[in-house]
Amino acid sequence: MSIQADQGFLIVFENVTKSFGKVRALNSLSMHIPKGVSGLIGPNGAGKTTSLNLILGLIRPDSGNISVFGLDAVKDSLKIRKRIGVLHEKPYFPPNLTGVEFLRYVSQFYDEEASEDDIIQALLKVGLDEKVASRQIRTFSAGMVQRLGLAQALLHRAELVILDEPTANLDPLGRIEFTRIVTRINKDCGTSFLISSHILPELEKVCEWVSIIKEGRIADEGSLVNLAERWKVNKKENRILESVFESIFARELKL
Amino acid sequence: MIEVNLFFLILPSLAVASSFSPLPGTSLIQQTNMLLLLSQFLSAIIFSRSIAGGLSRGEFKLLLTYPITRNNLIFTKLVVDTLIPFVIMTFVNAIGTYLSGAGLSAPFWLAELISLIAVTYIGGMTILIGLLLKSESTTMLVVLMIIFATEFATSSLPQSVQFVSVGGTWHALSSFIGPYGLVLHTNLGQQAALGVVEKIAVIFATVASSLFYSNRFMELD
Repeated sequence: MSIQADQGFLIVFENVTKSFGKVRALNSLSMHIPKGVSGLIGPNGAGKTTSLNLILGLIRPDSGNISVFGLDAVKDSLKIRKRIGVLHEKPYFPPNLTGVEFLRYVSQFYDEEASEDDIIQALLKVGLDEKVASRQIRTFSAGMVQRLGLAQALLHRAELVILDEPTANLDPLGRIEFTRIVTRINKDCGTSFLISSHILPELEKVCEWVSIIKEGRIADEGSLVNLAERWKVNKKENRILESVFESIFARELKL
Repeated sequence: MIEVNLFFLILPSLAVASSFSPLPGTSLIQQTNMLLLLSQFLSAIIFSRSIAGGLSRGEFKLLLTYPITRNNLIFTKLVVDTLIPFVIMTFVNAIGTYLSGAGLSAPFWLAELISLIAVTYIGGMTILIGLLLKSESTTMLVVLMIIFATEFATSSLPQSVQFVSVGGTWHALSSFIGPYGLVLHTNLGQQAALGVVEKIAVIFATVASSLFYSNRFMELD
């Protein structure tokens, strides 16, 4: 089966299956992620993190095809990773390095090493002060760590940034600021984002497209407007995703 | 990214120096026994922290999101993690030799050779065990147990398998190493040479299998 950048989708999963021992994490998952800011939601154990790890080439699918930027995620994993930035759920950054030193270190992995200007620009984009970034990472607050994580993902002008639970450890103010940063970067730089999160109201504010995973398969996906129409949700209410989620998981919620 | 501090230099240097005696012939076993054990312990600690610790901390998960291959990552870690304890033990050996007044004679260079063999042997083993267990403390414990079991049980092992341990190899080598070279035409000399070759073979086998199986071993959650 040929792999194509289908209809402007950045990421395409075609009947992807992945098991870990006896546990089937993904069960013939077929999913599409377009350009822009997209969300990936589902309950714990649905297969979100597995999907993200497959996109990054950290693990291989048992069967099926995954295409990222029209490239095979297994064979062309290195090429894909040159164009992607990632912020994992619980990111590990070397505690003894300063923020600036870490960004300098990261830039060495890419074809073009980032200049000091590039590093300062990346820090400015995420609202991290250069003075703060010159401190050791061990002294950073949770919000600063997340911002640094976003800066390292953006440093090499990534076309797509994957965020896995980016606001899970942040206070309400930090969450609002983080989502505003994501929206601004998407608008100003054209960078696409794929956000995996449990916090539905936040996703609703920033995402143009949402894919919903249930038990390793896609339950539904589309723009918020299309999802609202399909699930007969009142579009004027500011809880489209929550209502769609409740409808899809009604049996589990015993509604 | 491994932290090295003066602890690794000062205390081992004093320990090595204290085991020296002025006569190189009689001090060789004492000097190198300490270096042998220190090399292996240091190697086990550094490799455990680097490989198994890297997996459990999420360092590998971070690094593999950048455009580098698993093989590149493991191989680079092998080289750097070998150099670090080897350089440390060189300092220890040099400081200990200086403090004892023995000078940079043949035992210093032979001690360097055995230190390199010990570091790469234990390092290769620790990489493989670390990739399997993915836990820094468990890997360190398992490797240290192997070191203790092989080093301290060396004398009770049949001579043909004594080269399993680094100490066993070294004892055979040091039995007939004169100030200027290895006596290869003797049966013992050939066995000792075989022991060194076996060591190198084990090192390459563990590194090759860890590279070959790294995709499976390093499947990240």
